[in-house]
Amino acid sequence: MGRRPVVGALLLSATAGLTSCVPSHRMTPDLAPGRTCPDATATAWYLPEATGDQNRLEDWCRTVGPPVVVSEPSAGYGELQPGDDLAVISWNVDAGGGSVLAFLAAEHGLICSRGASRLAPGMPHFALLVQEAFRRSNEIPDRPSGPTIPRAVAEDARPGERLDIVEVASRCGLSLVYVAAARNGGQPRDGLREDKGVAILSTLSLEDVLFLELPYEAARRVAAAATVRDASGRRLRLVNLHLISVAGPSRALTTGNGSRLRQGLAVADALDHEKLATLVAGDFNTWSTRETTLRRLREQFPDSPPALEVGTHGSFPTDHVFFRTGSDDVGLVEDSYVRLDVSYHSDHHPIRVRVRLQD
Amino acid sequence: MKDAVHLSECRACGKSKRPSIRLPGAAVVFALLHASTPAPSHAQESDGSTAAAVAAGALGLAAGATLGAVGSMIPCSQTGPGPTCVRWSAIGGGAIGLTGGAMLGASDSDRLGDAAIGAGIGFAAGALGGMLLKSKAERFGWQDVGAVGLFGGAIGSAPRGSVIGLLSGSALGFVAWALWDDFKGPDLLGASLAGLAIGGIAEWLVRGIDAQSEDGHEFRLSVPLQVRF
Repeated sequence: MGRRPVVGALLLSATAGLTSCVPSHRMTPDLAPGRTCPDATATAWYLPEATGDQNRLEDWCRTVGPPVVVSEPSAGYGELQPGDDLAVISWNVDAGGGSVLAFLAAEHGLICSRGASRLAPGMPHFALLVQEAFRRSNEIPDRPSGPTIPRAVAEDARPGERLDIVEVASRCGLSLVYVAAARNGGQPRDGLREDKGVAILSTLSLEDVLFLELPYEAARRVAAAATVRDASGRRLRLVNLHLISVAGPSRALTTGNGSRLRQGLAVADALDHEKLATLVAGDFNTWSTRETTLRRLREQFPDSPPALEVGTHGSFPTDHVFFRTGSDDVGLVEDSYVRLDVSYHSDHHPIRVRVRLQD
Repeated sequence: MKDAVHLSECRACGKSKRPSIRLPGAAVVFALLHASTPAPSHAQESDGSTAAAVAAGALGLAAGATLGAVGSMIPCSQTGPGPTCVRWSAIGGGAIGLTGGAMLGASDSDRLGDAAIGAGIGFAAGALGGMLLKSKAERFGWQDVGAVGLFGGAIGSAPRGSVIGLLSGSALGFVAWALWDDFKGPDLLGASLAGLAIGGIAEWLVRGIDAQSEDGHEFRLSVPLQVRF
């Protein structure tokens, strides 16, 4: 029958077409030719290997201010002693919605008084991994509105001051790593422009800072990594990320709805060469604990705690912790992984786990 | 049989049979979609050709692949393979659509026209919906309008199967949602979309098989489904 070759050719070409559009999640330390942003001389970066991704991310990158790295806490919190626990909290603060100061005071007994700040007796050192952190500054470039400047995060009204993450760290004498992914609205607010991204605040020093610009999926996302150590030199790598929530229909069709997976695997790829104990936490924007991204990351981080089967963003379990032990003797404290019941005016609940750097 | 939906086609019995739908208060959207698709013409009225086979195959391929991809997206997102699962669903849907379409076009070029008109109406409706979304949603570009139009076109090319599948998938989803705590709102949406896709792809296959039957064979798909509004 003469039509069979035609049908066969159509089938083959369709199969080839559908299987060829698998976007890469590979990461590289190298900026693509022609990129001027970010400034990779000041801090180490990993970026998507695909030049197309980097070209699109360049436009977004140019709308935000530079990263902020304050390696040493200005308050004298002291060192983490071998055998002590470190509390690691991950929390999407909904930009200015969540009250970080109230959270730190209530959950960690932190009395914020700049260089004289102190933890309540018996409270452990902590690292707070914040998503949707915002920064107010006119260091942020003045750019015309356009597709690379998203709307500001919608915040519920709440009592108290609306402090940006830099001010929170300063008031509480904490170390800080902050990297913006995008603007928080195009218009200045109270005379200052705003950007938003992820931040790590800690009572410990933050070293070996690394930023991971994730593959482009509808918006720019940047993860932040930093290392803390105890007094004997045991180290723990902390990675804070916020994956994309929804890609457009065309992207979903062409990637097989693989946007979050691609970004998650990019983080794993960038960290693949590192041998330290590593804790990855953040807002994965998942609506179930069975999602492919989580399954695949559990393979990469085999010492992860079981997923919390409770909602952290409404009824959706969007926030997660992954962990792998490294060459140092570091482990999670059993049954310490919990969701905190109070959300402190954010639309997400914080999640917390304790890490023990063994004696 | 009361309260049942029949999808039936008769190829060589002298007249074409439209699907009979006897749902109490049948969904308005189904009626509109059904009414908007011209009655299938008869194989003997218009013979197929190679060109019609290629065109119908291409339409079936596009519709099947789109339905396969969209219908599998949510269920596949809960599996290890994830996008690979979506990709193979799209390939499977595309292959079935291609086969059904080529068989249809080879036998009956008029019915290719019916499917193409339905796809055009569906594309226009989808694209219109996409443009409304574009005016509201952030980062919703013209390519997204096109993607929604493509999905609309895929549904429009096989409206009866799609609607029957949607209703069946939703019904099963509701049952699962009521029975299992783990089955959440997005799973229900996933079941509905998967049903829609399976129904649409099945319609392409049924059409093709039906068009190729030269002995008056009647293909009857009966879905016992009770729906109350």
